[in-house]
Amino acid sequence: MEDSQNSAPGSLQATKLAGARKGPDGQNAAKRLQTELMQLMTSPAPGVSAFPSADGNLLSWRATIDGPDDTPYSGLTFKLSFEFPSNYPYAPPTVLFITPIYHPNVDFSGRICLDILKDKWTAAYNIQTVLLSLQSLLGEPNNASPLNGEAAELWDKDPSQFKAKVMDRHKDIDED
Amino acid sequence: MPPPNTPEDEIQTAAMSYYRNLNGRVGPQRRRSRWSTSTSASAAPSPFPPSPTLASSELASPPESPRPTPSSTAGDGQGPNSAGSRCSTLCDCIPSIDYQSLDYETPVDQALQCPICHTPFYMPLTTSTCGHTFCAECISRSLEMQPVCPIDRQPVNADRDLYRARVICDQLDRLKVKCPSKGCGLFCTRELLPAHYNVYCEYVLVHCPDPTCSRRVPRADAHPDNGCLHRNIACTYCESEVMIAELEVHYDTSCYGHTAKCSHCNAIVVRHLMDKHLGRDCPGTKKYCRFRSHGCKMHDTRPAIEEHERLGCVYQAIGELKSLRLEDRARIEDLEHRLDGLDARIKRKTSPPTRPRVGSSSFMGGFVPIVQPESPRAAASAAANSASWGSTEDYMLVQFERLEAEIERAHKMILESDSQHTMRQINDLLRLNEQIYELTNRVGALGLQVRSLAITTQQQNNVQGRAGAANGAPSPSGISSPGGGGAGTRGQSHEEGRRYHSNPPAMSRRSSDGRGQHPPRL
Repeated sequence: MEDSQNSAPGSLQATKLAGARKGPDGQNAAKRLQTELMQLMTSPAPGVSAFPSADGNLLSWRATIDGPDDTPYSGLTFKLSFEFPSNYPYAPPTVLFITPIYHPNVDFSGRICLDILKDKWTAAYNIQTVLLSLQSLLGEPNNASPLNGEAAELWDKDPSQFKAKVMDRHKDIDED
Repeated sequence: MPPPNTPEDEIQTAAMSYYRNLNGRVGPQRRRSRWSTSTSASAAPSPFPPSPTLASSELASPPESPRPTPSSTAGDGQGPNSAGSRCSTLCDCIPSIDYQSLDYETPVDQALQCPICHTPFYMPLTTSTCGHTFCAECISRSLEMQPVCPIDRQPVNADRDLYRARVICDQLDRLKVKCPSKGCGLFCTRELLPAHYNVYCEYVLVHCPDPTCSRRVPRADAHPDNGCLHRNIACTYCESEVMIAELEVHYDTSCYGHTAKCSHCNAIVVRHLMDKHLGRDCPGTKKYCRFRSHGCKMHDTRPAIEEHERLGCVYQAIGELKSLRLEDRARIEDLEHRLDGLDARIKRKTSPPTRPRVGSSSFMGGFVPIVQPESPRAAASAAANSASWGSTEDYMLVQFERLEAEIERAHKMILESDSQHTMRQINDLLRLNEQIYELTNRVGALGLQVRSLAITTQQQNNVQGRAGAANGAPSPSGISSPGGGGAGTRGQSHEEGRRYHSNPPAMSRRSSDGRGQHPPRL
């Protein structure tokens, strides 16, 4: 069948393409996020989890990362917030650490310096890959472009003090 | 193709140009443009006014092209009926298929899913630089943001570096999907889905058959004869105004008088399902026993009948017996028929006087005249004509065996006579041989006698010659050696004597041979 939807775009394809283009971006983003939610539920990655926030807005998610073993963050759990733009996945989500974290690439308000969340973002990234990237960032910080200069220095100089600072900062939120 | 003349068309053209460039096809644009020219000719303030009813329609529908007003269609020379039928079949006026929210029969392989939208590819395009595949729309939007492959960030030129991978398209075409229209539930291959959805699916909402009405009805109801289904009529039961298209929903939900008490069982029944209730469920209506045809006279309310049937109607057994008897009768009739056939065959076989079996006993005795099989053969052909193939075959078989036996016997006889003949010949030959021996012996004996006579004659001649030599007469040796002297004669006589001595044993031997005791020297 030559005139299938793949081989030759007919009028349907035209309207579809145009409709999708003109249609509200939020719908596409929501659709994609629903798919991602499904995939996260069916095949979860160890150490990371994510779920839409309780207010029912699919463009806002909460996620958790377990600190990787053999790093100062081992045994700790970090909460994050994801805010998706309406043109997600063509634009990156805004990701923040809710749990205070002492890390060279995270500032004290939880903002993260990670290239894939900025200029290196591509539409092929998803929540799970972002979370796994953040998890590996915990063990391998990019000390060349620190948001927290002190942490970047301590990471190389004094691991034990770094570990203490991490535990200290993590405790802070627990006491809150 | 006329240039796009509305902002909507411009956006659409820009959106389409991407895929269109790859395929070099602009088919759908033409129809759109025709719609837009006709509507702009009708001087509508906005060529594509958003319809409030469409906004509430079920699917994430792209902006609809409005249906032409009667005046504009009249201007185009198209009657309202043709417009109505076109709307029920063509795809332009129905919500397009949203390929990203299709339900697939089985989970689709991850390799066939777009890494951007995470759904099975729709119009897949593959990068020629790194070989990654995306939906056309997804990759085009991504390339607008960044001209790189979303997977590995290789630079990708939207115009040059994308191509359509046939094998992926074929695989996608074979995926089984569920028709997206509500209530349809049909599963078909993705390749066939547009045809089903745009032309056949009865659940797709299409324009109301009334060209003046802008609302939608399921395709099954959108028959031009139905007229507009969006006018209000008075509900038969509750006297409120209801749209025809929503009548069933009204009956089932909001109608005050939509239920009624069943006159038989006092149950509350939805009114338009009353017939169904009375026919199938109502415990108050009377009905007959299932085995009425077998003679059961039971006629009672449904529960009583059910109880009666559950306990076991007597007529059920009777019915079974009856059917068994009918079966038996049919079988007996069949057997009788076959028996008649067999009788007829036997009769046919025994009636001809020259039956092969009767003849066969006489065959064993001696020669059979060749003429005899003629009449059975005629009988066989007659049997064949009467369509009894089995008997003909039997007959042929018997005949064949008989002929075979005959040939065997003839063969034996030939062999026997042959040997007899040979024996006689040998005997004759022996006798002749003996006679020949005898004759040969006699001839030999005669030869000997002739020779002895000749010798005697010679001796007599010799004696006469000696006597003559004594008298000056020539000697017999003078005949053989005319120049013989005295010495010669003496030697000659000696030779004669030797010959004389050697001859008698040979003679005696010859005479003994004459008795025939030794094999002849032939």
